[in-house]
Amino acid sequence: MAGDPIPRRRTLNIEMVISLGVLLSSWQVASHFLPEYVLPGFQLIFEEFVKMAREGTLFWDTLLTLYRILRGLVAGFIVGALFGVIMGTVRKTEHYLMPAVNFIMGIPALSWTLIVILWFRGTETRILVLMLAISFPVFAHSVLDAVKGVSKEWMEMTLVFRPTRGQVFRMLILPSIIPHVLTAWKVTVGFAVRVVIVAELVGASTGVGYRMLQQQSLLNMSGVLAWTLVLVVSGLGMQFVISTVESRLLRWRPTLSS
Amino acid sequence: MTKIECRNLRKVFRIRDQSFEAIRDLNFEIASGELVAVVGKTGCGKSTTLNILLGLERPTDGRLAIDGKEPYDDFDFFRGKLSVVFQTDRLLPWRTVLQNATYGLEILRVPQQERTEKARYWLEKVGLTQFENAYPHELSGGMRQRVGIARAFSIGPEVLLCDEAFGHLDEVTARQLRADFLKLIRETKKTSLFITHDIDEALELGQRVLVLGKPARLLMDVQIPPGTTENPAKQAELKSRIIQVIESDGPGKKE
Repeated sequence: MAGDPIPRRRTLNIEMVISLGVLLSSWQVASHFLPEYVLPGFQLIFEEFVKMAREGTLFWDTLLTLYRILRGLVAGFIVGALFGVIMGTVRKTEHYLMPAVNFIMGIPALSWTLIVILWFRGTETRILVLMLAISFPVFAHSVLDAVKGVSKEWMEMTLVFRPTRGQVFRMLILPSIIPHVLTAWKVTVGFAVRVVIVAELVGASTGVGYRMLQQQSLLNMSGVLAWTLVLVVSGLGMQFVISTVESRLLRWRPTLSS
Repeated sequence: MTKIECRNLRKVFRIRDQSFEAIRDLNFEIASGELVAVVGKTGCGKSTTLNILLGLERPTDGRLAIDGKEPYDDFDFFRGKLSVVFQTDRLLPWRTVLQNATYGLEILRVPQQERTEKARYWLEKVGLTQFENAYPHELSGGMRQRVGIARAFSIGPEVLLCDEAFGHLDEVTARQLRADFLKLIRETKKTSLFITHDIDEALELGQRVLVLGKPARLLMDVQIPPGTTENPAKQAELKSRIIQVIESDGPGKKE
């Protein structure tokens, strides 16, 4: 109806509170009936957090894992964006490069984990190469699609002014591909968290993955769950950061309410 | 003095082993400072002619030159010399109105302060001063096209081209915009080529109208006597002659 205001999106909606509330209360109730190594109660998980914080592992291992993810993704983005831009702007390069990119993308993350362990020495090098290998094809694909999608009409309008190649890239291509690049980051971050944990489980003596493995070998379910929570929160945190960057960079985009 | 010279221009496109002739032996000359409307049926090769003028396409045969140089071969010679108002506004959505108006000046490396001043001058001319910080999606179609006009004028081009610039706007908005545009053209005395399928628009804007057949070739070259648009009978008569020539698609006599 004409007089009705447009409903505003609430950041904390009642449905979400109910959904999570039911899940957590069932957990807490069930924990009274099940042994600690199957389903520990919240107080045990909380105690585990306090212990982790006191030992310093909560801060340092989380930071280290986040650093590994970020460093790997930045490297993957640089290489992938370079591939994408070259394939999108230099004729026929796509025919030569894309099969290789697709082949690399077809190798499962777990295989990469084993391969880098055999190929490289040193945890950091291994994890960096692993993150690079799994993320750059995704970035290459999304940047290529974005470059191909740059409007022909805008390109013609720009060419009438006789720009240099650098100006076309900086003033037209780059701003056009930003939305696609941010979407690729959102997708890849979630994937990267999972891969880095596996890598730390298999071949590291630091980081969240390694700490989880430690807790598992001690049969300490509360510890495993506490570190899992750290991962969930870290993943959500990174998504939040990207969304914030997105809303700043893409503030020119029309929204439904405008 | 001849500004634009088109001699035996021909353009053939090849699409999957099929050739399609868009322009056949097109000949015309446009003098410096002249305002010429080009009219013809939809799909008669008007836009292809425009693309050749802009240096975005290469002619198959013949020659189309501005100041004796061909835009496709001497691409960089035309830096800062050409501007276009397209059918759709082609504004960049991530740039504000002011930033869209300075786009060409930025490419020409005009210093920031100077380009802002120039863009503001032209935004004022098209009546958009208050909207310089708005994004394109916040404007109406007519306002967006005004930004496109400001962007085209701001670089101070030698030749201004228009491709069905008001074709997608409603009649009232288009009429107002046409009048304002004509005023700016007359003030700046630019050599202008206005491509349209609307004969009334061509008669209203041009001092001279080139009528194209399909494929594009010159059917008729009419000088519009001053005051024609104020005389409905004269305008109607001219219009019916142009329609007749286009319908029969045979050459009319030169006026």
